[in-house]
Amino acid sequence: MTRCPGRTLLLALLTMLTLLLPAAALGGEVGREGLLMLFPQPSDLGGWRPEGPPQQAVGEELFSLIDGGAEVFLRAGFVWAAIQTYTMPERPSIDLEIYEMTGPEAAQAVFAKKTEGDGQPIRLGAQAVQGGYYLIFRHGRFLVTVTGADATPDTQAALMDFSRAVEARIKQHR
Amino acid sequence: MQTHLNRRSFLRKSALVGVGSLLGVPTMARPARGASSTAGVTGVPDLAVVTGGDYFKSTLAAVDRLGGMGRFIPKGARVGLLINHPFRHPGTHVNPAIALAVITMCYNAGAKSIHSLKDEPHGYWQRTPLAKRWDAVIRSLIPSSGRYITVGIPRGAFLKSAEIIKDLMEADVLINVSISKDHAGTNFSGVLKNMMGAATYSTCRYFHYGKGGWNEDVEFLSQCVADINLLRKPALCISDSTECIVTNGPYGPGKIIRPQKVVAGADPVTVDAYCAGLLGLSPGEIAMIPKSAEFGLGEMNLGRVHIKEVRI
Repeated sequence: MTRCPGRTLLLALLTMLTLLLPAAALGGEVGREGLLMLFPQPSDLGGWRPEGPPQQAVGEELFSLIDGGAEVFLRAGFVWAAIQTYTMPERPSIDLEIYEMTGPEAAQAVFAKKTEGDGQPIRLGAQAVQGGYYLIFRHGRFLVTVTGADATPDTQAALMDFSRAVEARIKQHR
Repeated sequence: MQTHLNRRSFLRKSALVGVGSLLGVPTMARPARGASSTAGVTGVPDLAVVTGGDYFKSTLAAVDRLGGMGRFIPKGARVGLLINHPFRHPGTHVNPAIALAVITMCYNAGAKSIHSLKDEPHGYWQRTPLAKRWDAVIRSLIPSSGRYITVGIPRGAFLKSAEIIKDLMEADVLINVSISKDHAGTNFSGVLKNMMGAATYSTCRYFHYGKGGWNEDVEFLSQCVADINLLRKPALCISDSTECIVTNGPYGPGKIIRPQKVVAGADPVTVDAYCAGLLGLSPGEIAMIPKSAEFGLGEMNLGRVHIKEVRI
């Protein structure tokens, strides 16, 4: 059998691209695996652990994940979402939601709608608001919501830790 | 091992542990066969509103002011329970203590079985410390999911048929347990909007998309909500108006107000009209309320109804 050098080179290039895809993909549409890379690991969070696998949705599946809450996302231009609950003994759980929109404008539109009438602006990502028991920020085409069960100082500190960890991962992987 | 609890075993267990006293439920004379109507009972309000920090007790007290659950549930009835609980952010779901109070009252009134018309999300009941005490009651709920039917709505203006959970139509009694909150599409979510919870995704999609793609038409969505309420009027509506988001609804998170009220009544339009006011809204500006009133589903003019408000 005759080996074709050009074909071998092409296969090698394709293999390299496949291996590099998860990191590179964040420059385009991230897909399920890419989006999950943005979720902090227990080592980032000092004791908070994910409770089961994250729930995920693409396109109109978002309705099955957040029901009528999907409307504002789909209207603006939604791609993927994943939601993960984190727990720690003796603490109320925290929910982390990461939404990939079609672009920064879409993320901005949802951010504006979701933060209308509540919360205080804080410095995080491109734009962020803290509303006591929750924190919402956007960075690039990502919209991130971190929600606790109360507005205690401990919860608010955790919300900030989660948000900073996600922001760092977005910056790292983009 | 799953414990199956039906009415008989619940009553037996209740008798053994003195559930009535645990609940603080006043012993009331109940009709031998209850009827799903509150009309014509002298002195009984159309709407009972109870304010207090113990939501379980507030729910018991609200239904008690209406004459007790026995007025709504015939003995041996199969009860369909529609609870708005898919979300987990504060102020977006019915407090499970309120749902538990309703369930225990149903059994005490003689319900044979209670069918949960919408699957509760993982960990829902554990959000109240009462879950441990009422574990057997929680596990007695029969899930209705997986069985759907398509039913025609001849009087519907836009929604002419709907695919819904079968037990919505087959249960002897329907109880709608909603939460009052902001909603991006309809401006308010309560009893009427909660009926969408019994519909399948494809039917709900029609509410939002219509036949011609994405539809931002509030009038269309609101009319569809009124239409689906033609399917069946609840025997009893309980509205959790204890903690409610008033921005970023229905999913949240958002700004929370705490009226700390449980509102009960047989008329879904009246309950929504009252609860909208708690959120600073006028019933007339929430299109699904007047549209439902025009269908004859209830009274939206609160000046024409007897409201009993108490604080416990």
